[in-house]
Amino acid sequence: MITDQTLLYFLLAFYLGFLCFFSWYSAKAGKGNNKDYLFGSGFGFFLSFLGISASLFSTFTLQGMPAFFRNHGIASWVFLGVTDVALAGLLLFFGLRMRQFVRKLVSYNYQQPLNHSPKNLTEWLKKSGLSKLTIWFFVVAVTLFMIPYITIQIKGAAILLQSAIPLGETHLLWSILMVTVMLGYSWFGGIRAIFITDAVQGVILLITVWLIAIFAIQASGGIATLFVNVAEIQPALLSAPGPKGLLNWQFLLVSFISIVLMPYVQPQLMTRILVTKNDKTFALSAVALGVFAILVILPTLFIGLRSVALTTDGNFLPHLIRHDAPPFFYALFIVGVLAAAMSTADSQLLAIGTEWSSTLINEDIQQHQTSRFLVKGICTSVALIALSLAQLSFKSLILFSINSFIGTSLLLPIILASIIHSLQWRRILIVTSVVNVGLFFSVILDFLPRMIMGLRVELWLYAISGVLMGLAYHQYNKRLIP
Amino acid sequence: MKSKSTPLRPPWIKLSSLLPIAIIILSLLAILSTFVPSTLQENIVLGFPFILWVWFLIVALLVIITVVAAWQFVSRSNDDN
Repeated sequence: MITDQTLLYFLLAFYLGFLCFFSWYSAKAGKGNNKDYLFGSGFGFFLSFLGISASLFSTFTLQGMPAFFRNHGIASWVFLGVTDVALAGLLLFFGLRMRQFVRKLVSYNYQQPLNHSPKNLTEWLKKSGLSKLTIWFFVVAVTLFMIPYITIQIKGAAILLQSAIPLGETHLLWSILMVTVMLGYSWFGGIRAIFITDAVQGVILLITVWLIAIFAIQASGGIATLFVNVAEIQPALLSAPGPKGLLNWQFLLVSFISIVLMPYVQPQLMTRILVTKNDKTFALSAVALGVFAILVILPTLFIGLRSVALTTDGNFLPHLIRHDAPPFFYALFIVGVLAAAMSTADSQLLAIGTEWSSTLINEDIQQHQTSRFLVKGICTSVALIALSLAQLSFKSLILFSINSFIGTSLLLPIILASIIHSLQWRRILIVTSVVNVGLFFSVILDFLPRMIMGLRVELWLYAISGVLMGLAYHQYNKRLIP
Repeated sequence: MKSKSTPLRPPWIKLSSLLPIAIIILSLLAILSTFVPSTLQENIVLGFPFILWVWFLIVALLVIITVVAAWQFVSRSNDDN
């Protein structure tokens, strides 16, 4: 008779074997050159859309999203469902234009002659002629905002693994093991390994989240009963802004803006936009991302609301799974969380590594001999910082992510500056970003109040930046490349 | 002399350029719907709270306009090929 614990060991071993195999396979298929290792050679539809999806939907899909529905109610659908589908639609429109722009940048020999179109944000900014200081600021700020996001991936999965298979007193050993495996397959296989493993991890995530939802719906006696139960226990969960008043229009607007801007300012997503095989594949991937977003978020609504009637324990998921799902299922859930965490963190680490390499090396990193080692070194350093931070305590996974998203979104004026020709407007936009980030850090560190004249500071920053970006783009419509 | 034929396109072909505006309007509608009185929001209709139907409808519209825009782009790139 196979016990649950044995099944969990078996699934973890199988999963590890799968990662090792694809790491080896990718290293073999990668022809050993830097281009294939760092950026691949054009990814097709399935790898592109599943890769973007897995990279976007991290560990909080399984842990944070159900908790959000449970604590703040159905209005979380606006924050999660509407926003992510809007992200996919806007990605179709702006992503295609960005791909078009970087293709034109090839012939624009301003400062750094690349004989190919830029493959990451730093190459883009360098090729557009932005100053070194601006590029350094951008890379440092992105890294500072991404580290907490990587941290919560490690922490979320490690705590769960520790609760299933305790290794020592804390989740430290699981954190170390996870980071080692993630760095291992990224080191050997490069971006190809990350794309392939992310695609499979995306499928695992989708299957796991739907199975939990189906078990939860069955156990509560159907969807209608689920909502009736919630209406009896806590009716405020069935309307906005929710029982704690969090999901008001200001929160929803700030989170909408910060999330839909993610692909244009976060390196791991921008690289995926730029390395997709062709525009047609990219367009189809953007649509598929929207559908994937609905499919992955909808079940978390049912899971979160089911838990309201089931338990008052904050750590409700293990309880819900043990109560509603068959005994073997807990093992699949653990692997699902691990897959979600690793598929997000691995691409973030590699992206930060390539951005820093492009910043530190003046030549083309695809041609430079040491770039691959530099990328590995930076990935490891950032992973170690995240690993250390993962041992600290955070109140909420998802609210921590939101600060990360807001921080990176405030860097958008720099991206816009790279496509504007007017030096004066470039400076204005760059200064806007610097001020945005400074003020946002001051708010996070409680040096400044969160609200000014009844509005959240982030809304003021978005409003001022939006006006300046609009003026820069339209009033001075002399773009870098017409 | 090389002649260039102009493919016939339906008049709404330019709709794809309105994609961002349509998405932003629909998303703002979803955000503004939080001002609807909570008693109306919580009213259960066909198994789901009323407001959730509104948000599902908005998401469905977002998907439809994205699919139409992508279809227009893909068919245009086929024309170009």
